[in-house]
Amino acid sequence: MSRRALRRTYVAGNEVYDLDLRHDDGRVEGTYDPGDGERPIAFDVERLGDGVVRVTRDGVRARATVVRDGDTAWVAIDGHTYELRIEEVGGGAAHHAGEEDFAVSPMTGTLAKVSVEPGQQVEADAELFVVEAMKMEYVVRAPRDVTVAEVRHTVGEQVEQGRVVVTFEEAP
Amino acid sequence: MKAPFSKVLIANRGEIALRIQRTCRVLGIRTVAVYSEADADQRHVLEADEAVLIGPAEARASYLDVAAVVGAAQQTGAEAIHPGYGFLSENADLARACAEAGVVFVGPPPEVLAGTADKLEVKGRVAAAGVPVIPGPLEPVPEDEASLRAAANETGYPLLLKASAGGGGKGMRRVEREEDLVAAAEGARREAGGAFGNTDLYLERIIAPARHVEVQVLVDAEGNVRIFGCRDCSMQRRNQKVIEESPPPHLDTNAIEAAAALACQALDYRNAGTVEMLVQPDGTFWFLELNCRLQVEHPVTELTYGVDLVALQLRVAAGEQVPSEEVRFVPQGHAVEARLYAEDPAAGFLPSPGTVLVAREPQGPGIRVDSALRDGMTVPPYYDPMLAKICAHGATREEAIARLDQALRETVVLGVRTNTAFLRALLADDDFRAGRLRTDAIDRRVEELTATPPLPLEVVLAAAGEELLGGGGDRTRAGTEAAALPTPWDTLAGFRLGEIR
Repeated sequence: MSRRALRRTYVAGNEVYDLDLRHDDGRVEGTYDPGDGERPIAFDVERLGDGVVRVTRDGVRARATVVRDGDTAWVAIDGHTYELRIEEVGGGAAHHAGEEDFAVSPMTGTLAKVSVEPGQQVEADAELFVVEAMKMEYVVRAPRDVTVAEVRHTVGEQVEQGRVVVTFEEAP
Repeated sequence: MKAPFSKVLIANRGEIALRIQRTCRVLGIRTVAVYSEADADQRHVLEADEAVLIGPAEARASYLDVAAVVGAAQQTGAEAIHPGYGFLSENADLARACAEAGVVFVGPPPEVLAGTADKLEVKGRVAAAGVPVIPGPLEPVPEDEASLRAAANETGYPLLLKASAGGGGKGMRRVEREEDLVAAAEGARREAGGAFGNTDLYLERIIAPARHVEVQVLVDAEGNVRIFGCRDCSMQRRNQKVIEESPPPHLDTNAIEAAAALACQALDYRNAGTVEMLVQPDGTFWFLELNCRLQVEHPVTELTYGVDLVALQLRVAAGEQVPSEEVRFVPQGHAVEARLYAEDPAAGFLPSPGTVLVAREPQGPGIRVDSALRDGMTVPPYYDPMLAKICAHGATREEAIARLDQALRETVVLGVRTNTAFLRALLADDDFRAGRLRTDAIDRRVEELTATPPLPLEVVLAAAGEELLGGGGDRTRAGTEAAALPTPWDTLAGFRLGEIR
């Protein structure tokens, strides 16, 4: 029936996995090349049921529950849960953490306190604002020495996860 | 036995609303759910006999709105309101509004709740009855900085700042050094004001090392006190309980239970309650607080004592006497509970609201699951992120722990981050296994306990293989709506009170 061969790249944490895959009628065979002159690893994957697969490599079988949500794959194996990002080959832009010129709410909640105002110079690790949700308060701190450009929300407002609350002026 | 009521409104959400529904179903009582606009698709709404929308997502305008809750009871003809835990469970205004509306409040009478709302006042009354209380001033912390510093110096560092109207760790701050005192008091006041509308704080010396041991009491309308033993809830992270068990290992609880009975009498307590104590390694114990509600961790007591505490609450509320001549009961075997949260231990336990794409609950001998999980459910950001309580009962503590660990291995929640691996790391801890329990154990070793394990290659292979195989694994948000709902009777499968198998 369906027979496909393709190459996919998976990103988990800081690791990048390049896999060669062959799809052959309800079964996937593949190889993973760990690089550094190490022996490529052959494996196969079978579907057992709704979102449940069996992975076999070197004769050892593991059961996993897998679900995809856009370009994220969630995998549960043996009581542990993992979150993987799936990237097309050649895709993915470089991303430098800690260099953003803004600070975001780490979670959806209520803005409980704003500790800075526009024009203020603050040192790395200084408190910028506090978000309260569920049972806790979360303090968001300056990622480096910055000058505050803008405060976009006021105390008492609901802010969603990832919403920019404070922006910084560009470094001279 | 005749059902104590024919229809009960449950003023709560999530697993506890479902757990109360289960007992109602067993007793032949019809159930009414209340819900906010954020919760229309939650199981507690879908599985109740009737459901009433009581307001917007913010709890203050829905689950904490006394008039809306009592109005829903009147509208549906419910004879009683069970408040669960949290929200309005210890709210004297709700108990009073119930009395005025001719609805039975399942809990202590309003005057008892009003008299126990102030934790500092309770401390004074209990101390006067001869129960040992934690050292610290019996007056609220003064507003001015100099008096605050003086009171703190008198109490001694490290100390705890606590909200007089507090509970659930809100408005509580541990202060190690004097230079942190003012900022901590400011934060605690803000949190307490937001949560309770009362900014009063008090100071207590930190008792450490200590275990958190609590006594399950039930007092009927005539004042007869019954005691269903103790639970150990020492496994806490920043004063939030994570693992609880019954009975406490390696502990003679006779004197603790007697003191708890004394405290209940001093406070003229009624219905189900919990007397919390701190116990030092030499057995010295101190009254911590009285909780005037059903506790989150009540299942471990139900498993070891073979009782249905919700059924007893309903009977006591209906004016029945506690059905026994005995005052104290004997536990059978051992039970352990783990609280499953939508949170990310690797990111400082940030809550992880979102959509649960796939949920699989464990089953097996001795396993009880109290949960509101279902495929496609939303975990809203507005409320406590607890998803489920996984409990295991065994003939011995070792057996219960082994069963709980196996149950957690079989628990699958995908789509939001959970603390499952953290819970298993706690169960594997040598001190926990040996029963060497202390309230600061988790906080002292939190980095080790939340270490992210290396990614097994199988995980990547499984994701890659499944992607090509397709077939059911893709539950993007639109695809989850049709997820099958369990019928109410299916949901009794994981429910169990005290039978060891």
